Amino acid sequence: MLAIERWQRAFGQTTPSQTTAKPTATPAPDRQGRHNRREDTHGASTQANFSPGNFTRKDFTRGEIAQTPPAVLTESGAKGLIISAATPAARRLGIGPGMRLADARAIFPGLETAVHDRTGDQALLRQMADGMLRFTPWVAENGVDGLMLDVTGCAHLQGGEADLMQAIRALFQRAGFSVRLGLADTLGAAWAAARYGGEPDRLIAPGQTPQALAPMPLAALRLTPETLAKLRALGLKSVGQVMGLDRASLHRRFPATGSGPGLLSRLDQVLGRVDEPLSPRQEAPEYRVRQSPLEPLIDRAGIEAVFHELLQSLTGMLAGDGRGARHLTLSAFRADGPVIALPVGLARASRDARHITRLFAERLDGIDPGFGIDTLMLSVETTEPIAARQQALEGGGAQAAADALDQLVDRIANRIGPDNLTGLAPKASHLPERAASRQAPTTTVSATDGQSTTLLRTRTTTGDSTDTAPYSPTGPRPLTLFARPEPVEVMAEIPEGPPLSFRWRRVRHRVLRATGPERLAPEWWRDLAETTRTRDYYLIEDDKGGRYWLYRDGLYQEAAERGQPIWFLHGIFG
Amino acid sequence: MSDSASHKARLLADLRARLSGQGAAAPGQVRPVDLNVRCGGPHDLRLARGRVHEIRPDRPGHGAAAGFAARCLAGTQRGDTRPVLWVASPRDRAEEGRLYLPGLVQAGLVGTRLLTATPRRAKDVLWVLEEALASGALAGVAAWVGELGLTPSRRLALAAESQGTPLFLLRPWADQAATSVETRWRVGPLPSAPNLYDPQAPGQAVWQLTRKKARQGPPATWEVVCNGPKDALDLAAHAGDRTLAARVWPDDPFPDDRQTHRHARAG
Repeated sequence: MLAIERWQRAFGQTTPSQTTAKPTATPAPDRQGRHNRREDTHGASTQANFSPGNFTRKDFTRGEIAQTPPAVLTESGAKGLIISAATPAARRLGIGPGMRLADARAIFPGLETAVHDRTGDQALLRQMADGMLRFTPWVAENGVDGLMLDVTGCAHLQGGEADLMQAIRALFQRAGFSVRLGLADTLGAAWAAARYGGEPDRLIAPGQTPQALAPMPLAALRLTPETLAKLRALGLKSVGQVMGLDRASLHRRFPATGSGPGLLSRLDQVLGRVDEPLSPRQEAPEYRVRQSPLEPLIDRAGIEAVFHELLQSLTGMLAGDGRGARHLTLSAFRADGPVIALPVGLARASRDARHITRLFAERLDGIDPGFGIDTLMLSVETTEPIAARQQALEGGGAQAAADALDQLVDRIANRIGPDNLTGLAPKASHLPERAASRQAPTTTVSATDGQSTTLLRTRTTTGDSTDTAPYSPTGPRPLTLFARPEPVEVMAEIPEGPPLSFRWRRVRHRVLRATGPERLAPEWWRDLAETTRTRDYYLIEDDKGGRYWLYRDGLYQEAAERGQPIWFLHGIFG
Repeated sequence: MSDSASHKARLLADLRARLSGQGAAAPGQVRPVDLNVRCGGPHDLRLARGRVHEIRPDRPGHGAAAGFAARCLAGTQRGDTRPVLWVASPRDRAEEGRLYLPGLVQAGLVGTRLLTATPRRAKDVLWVLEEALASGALAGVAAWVGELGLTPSRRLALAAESQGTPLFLLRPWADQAATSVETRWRVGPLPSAPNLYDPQAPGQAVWQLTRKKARQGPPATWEVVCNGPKDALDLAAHAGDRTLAARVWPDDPFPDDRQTHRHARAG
């Protein structure tokens, strides 16, 4: 029924280039020359189509949107509903962001409206940022409507900067967005090129930044509103007008304010005199191989074929560097935008293609190719050095068993989640529930008496040395312990003594024999004294031979201050 | 008079054994180092490797079945450097409690060679079991498994056989479904052995082990005293004061299969 597009502004971004120019020995006051062949930015102005009715985003091409009836997105403001975005048709009528909906209705009574979903926008932008990872590992979101890409050294993969912009544009258009792109030497210049470049795809040639920026309005410098107002009052309108002015006076007259940097530092950034690094959404992976087949992949067989090629080259790279992967991600970039990421973790660094294939094998089904996958990327987030191993002639059994165990741990952990496969490690604590912790299993082969044994080594994450002290149980401990002790109705002597009978899970147990109490007090050095009371534990045997671990939480002597004691069943003995 | 004297002698022998860390082994007998599932008597109590053994409690609300499984699992760890795996679903954890390391250690398990898996879905429990058994990387596997049909149990049996890894299945007490297993056990607690130090306190646990079904061997019942982790399960006298009965220790309670297993691995 209703389709509303929002025109979003774009983003630009900078990248240090692939130039080989060496930093000069001098302080290098002008880094611009050094950066000459370098930064690419593209800004995209994306238009999201909101579809409360039966339209999906794909129903629109850019042309169709231009012909849709006037429509707006609204947000509630101080004085009622405020328009936050408007379609081109609405803008032609003079309706724009910031206007009250009532005023807009006065201009055009048939205006279509929808509520602006900012969270949805953010998610959409993030999804698009992920999609950009196919072009470069350095991607960042910029504001609510822009993306920044550092394309240093990446453009040639698409056949050059112009072709790269073309590819990005095609991708967005296919997904139903309109974009504005800017590509330039610096992040600031690319930002400006995307927004004030005058054409949808503005490519500022290397070294041409000052000339290209000169005619642009001062807003292209990302200035604060106060600074802009001041400049306007002085009659300064274009970037070129301020470029030649005295630096000292620029610095004095337009200082940094609470809302942003001053004019001079913005100017330096845009011209590359100071570095403005991009903070990417995610760390660039250590290794990254990608392949874009000529035809989009539409079935599992195709995906597998490409995956194997990627894995072969990746394991080759890892072997060359003597490293193994601990965390890998297979990213499938769908032609219509979304990215499917399959992360896989390994218990021990490996570059065994067969093993890694098995870990991914059953998850490949999770990739829904949709309209086709145009790029498949395999990246390694974490690596560890591993030495090339000689085939053992004798005593290789232990190593083989360790390998088998590693692979089993990986397979199970990747299927049920790493948190659900754990080893148990003792901890020095009197509180029963704290006396053991669950830890990720890592395996090691230790040679003792010339014989290798496989051990599960539990990794200690805390620096608390007392937690790793050897465990020595002081009394009998149950086989299983309830995470939340189960309350029981108890008949017992007051103030002390074991229960005579208790009711647990609606069954009454008559106590025949009991031993205790084992008094466990909260550990004051852990600051638990406020939340934990002293407990008296009893090992109970009922008339049928069942053995249970019951405790009384609290003491009768302290009942006045800390409340009445309560009985719990904490564990069951074997 | 003689009663109290013999009591005193037993007490002293037990204390000496504890101090020397040896357990109460009678002199002149060879202590097997292998396993602690070591019972003998009218019928040998044996659990074969590479097979599935089903263990059910005789009623809900006690830990004897899990205790027996823990002893079996600890047995597989003897003389084997590979770790063992215990699988429980979140529902089992709510019902039976979480596996507790100090208690498992007291039951004889080596804590550094114990893995626990907690798959969220019942389907994954069987998947994990099958993978674990077929990998050959583990000495033994135990699991709580709720529903189990004939076909899945057959798959588990084949997986257990492939690498000679035993699987101890803890099943719900009321479950009657047919399964393909080597042995089926019903385990319940009995009043514990006398505590030499405090008559009011529980002594060593006593279990009644009923072999309902076995591929090799007739149905049989044992009453065993569950001694410390380093000791054997002893046959309890059927009546009276439960003094320790004569022990019969087979040389290798996991017969034959280990040999073939070794050959298979070597080949």
